[in-house]
Amino acid sequence: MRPYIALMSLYVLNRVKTVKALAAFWIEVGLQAAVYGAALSAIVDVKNYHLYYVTGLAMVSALDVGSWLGYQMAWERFWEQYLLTLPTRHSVLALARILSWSAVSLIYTLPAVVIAGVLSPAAPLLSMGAIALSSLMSSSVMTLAVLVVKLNPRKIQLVGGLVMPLITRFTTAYYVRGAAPPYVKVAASLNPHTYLSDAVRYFMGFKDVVTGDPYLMIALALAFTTWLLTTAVVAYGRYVEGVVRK
Amino acid sequence: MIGVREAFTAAVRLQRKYLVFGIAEMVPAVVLDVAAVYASLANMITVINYVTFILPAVPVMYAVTEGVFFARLAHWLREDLILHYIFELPISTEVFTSAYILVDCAFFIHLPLVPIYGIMYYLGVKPLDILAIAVVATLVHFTLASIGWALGVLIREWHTSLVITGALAAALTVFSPITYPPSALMKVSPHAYAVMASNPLTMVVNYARALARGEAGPHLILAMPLAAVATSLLSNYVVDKVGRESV
Repeated sequence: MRPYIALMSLYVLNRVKTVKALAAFWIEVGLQAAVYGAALSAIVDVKNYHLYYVTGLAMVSALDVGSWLGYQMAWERFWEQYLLTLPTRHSVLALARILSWSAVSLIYTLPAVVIAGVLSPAAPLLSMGAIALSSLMSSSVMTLAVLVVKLNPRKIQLVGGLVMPLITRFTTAYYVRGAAPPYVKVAASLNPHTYLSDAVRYFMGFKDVVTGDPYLMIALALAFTTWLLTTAVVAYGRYVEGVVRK
Repeated sequence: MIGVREAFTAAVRLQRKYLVFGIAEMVPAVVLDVAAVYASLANMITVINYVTFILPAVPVMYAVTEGVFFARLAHWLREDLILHYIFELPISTEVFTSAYILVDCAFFIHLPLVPIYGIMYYLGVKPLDILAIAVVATLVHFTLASIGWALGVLIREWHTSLVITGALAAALTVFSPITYPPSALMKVSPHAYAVMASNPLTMVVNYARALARGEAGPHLILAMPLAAVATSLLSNYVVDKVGRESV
């Protein structure tokens, strides 16, 4: 457990010490959650849409922050020789990094969580769970993507630019499934993030717009994330340590 | 002294290697925003036709984010020593910077937004009005990119630049009727509405919407180039004075 904690603290501190970058992200998320969310909720026909939007913004921002890990891993290709000298298994390194990015996402999306807390006392805890899982999903997806492109920093931009919009747009983070056009409903049903998003909204009180068993949806989202995380961590370790490459 | 044509050639040469990545990163996001998010929101909003409401504002929105992004670009250009190269060119900085900004606008705004222009045409907006919206977006980008360019050279510390440009882009887009009608913000807070009313972008977005409806006169499209050129001259003066010492 100690190597995980040490590595995670290192990664989290490294991200948070650039206070100005954090401030820039907070301003963006805070303004969007407070102003844009409130204005949109004045014209949307879903009751308490502001809370729905703020939670969605937190989840999508977490997906976004989580995906940065893939880009970072690709740029590290140039330090590969150095990384191979580290006295830690690369699967351990990858798991610690993915988990720490989840913690980083919680810090980066804090303004949205605070505003969600103002709108509903139960929302922050649920939002934080959703943020952590969203980040785990996108970090794992991007870790796998970075292996597909063989740690090429240019190609990961292309793959990330194609894959991430599919995850962040075909999810019910910003809209309710009942309002989506038929083709979006089909695509959203294939996205595990939709189940996480719907389940969280169910427990927040949006029972009239969420259809399906929330416990089953949570179970699906958790099972998929665990599978994705395990695959990403094992594959990254094997690839970087040269087991697969040979 | 080399001419305008050579300035454009140099600008294309510097940016073409990013073209594929720029398009590949932007097109899926832009298309899926409209096809999934805005199309679904349109079914949740009954007071206005949300798709026709948002489409004319999309080019302006991207013009703002890409324009302000020039402050960060100035940092990268300095790091890659390209700013050195720019100052060494046998051409005035104004001409080269203008060419660079216009090429950036064509590559990273208008090319990825071709599907959006196509949807607007499909929804009945006249080609000339679509062209006018594209020109408006170009002028917004040109003005903000000129400001961003000067900011990027003036603010030498990367993270400070990140905060200032991030806050500027967020404030400009959030306090403007790009994604919601002004009446919606009025319901939420009259103070926020007052901020939006004082945002110059509000006037531009409303104008783009009037163009899409075929109801706009030529007044703003004639006035905007004056503002763009004045900003560009001022920012290039700053870049020329301060920038040469900073690289």
